[in-house]
Amino acid sequence: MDQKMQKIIDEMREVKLSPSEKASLKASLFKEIDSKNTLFVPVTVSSPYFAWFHFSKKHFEFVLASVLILVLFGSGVAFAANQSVPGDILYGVKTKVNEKVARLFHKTSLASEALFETHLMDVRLDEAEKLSDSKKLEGSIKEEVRKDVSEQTDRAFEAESALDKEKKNKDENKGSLLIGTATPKNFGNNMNGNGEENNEKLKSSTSTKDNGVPENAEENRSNTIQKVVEKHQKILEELKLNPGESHGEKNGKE
Amino acid sequence: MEKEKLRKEFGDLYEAYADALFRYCFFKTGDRELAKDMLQDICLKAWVYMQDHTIVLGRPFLYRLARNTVIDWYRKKKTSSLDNLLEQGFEPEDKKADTSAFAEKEQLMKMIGKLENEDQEILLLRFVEDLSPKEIAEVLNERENTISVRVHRALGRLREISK
Repeated sequence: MDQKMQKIIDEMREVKLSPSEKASLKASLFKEIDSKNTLFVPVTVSSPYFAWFHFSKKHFEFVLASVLILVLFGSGVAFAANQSVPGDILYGVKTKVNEKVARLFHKTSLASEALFETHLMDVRLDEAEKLSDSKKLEGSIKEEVRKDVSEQTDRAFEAESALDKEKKNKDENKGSLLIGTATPKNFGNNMNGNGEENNEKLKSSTSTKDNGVPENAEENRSNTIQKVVEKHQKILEELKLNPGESHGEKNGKE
Repeated sequence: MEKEKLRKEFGDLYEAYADALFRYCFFKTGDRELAKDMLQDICLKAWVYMQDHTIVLGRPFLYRLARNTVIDWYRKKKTSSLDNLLEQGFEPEDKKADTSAFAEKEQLMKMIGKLENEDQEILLLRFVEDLSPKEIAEVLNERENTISVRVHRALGRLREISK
């Protein structure tokens, strides 16, 4: 850089605050700083999205304890509900909560669903038997129980029917319908007759596969509803006594 | 006490850089009073940053603060500082400069005024504020090599204009 330019640059470097200006500005700055404890303190803004997980130690224990109490209480209620029968306070929890949730877990396959619905059919009949043993199966409760058993049985048959339809679609040569003439709708009618007779109807409706070698799982499943019916023959008769109580007496009902 | 320590550090920082920052703002705006106001803003921002001990308040950081303050002003005013300077005349505080030197300065300012803003800034930071290419790179958020090349080109253009 030539001398002329260097000289001018040196002159430019001489541009600065006068001593009085510098002192005055410094005083003004310190006054500003001291008037407030700190200036423009960075404010930590909690993210509204993260706040969910932000628990201070103080709150964490309280929240944890509350959650544990809720879980234990809920578990206790659910367990107690499982033992309930129609007419009990917790029966609603059993049918509308516990079983509903369990049903969701069994929707993974038609076979699982069919087994579960049949299991619930067994449960409904168990409940009816308990009520009958404690002489509570009468009046409105009896009607309610009859309705619940009938609905659940319908569901069990529908699930089985859906499963068989699926299997039939997969291979037309395999197995025929598990349920022959016995349909959910006329189950009640079938049960009006002799219990033995009804069992026979169920047996006859189970046809053999054309290939002659039923799979074990399918055979087991096809027997499940039948087993439930056999197991609860007595109570089924008792429940069907409304239109046909005489049939139940004939079959040795107490 | 931590605050006392910070106050002392701030005072030292002010004594070291107030003139340089003022000069930068003055040459960028052409207005002495405005440059003083800007310097106050820059210092207050520096005070805030000082409380965040993760930030190192070196020269490049302070010039970056100054540059951002000037840019904000430009956005509001949208006027050419150098045009103002040329219209108002260049009057340094030191009145001892003789007439011929003053005339030379005016001539130089006119020449610099013909340069692009980026070239003016580069020359100001490099030769007036005496920042190294590395420091200028930090201020302008550029690579050091880029700054060296720009300084060289700006000087070349200034020589072309001065012929």
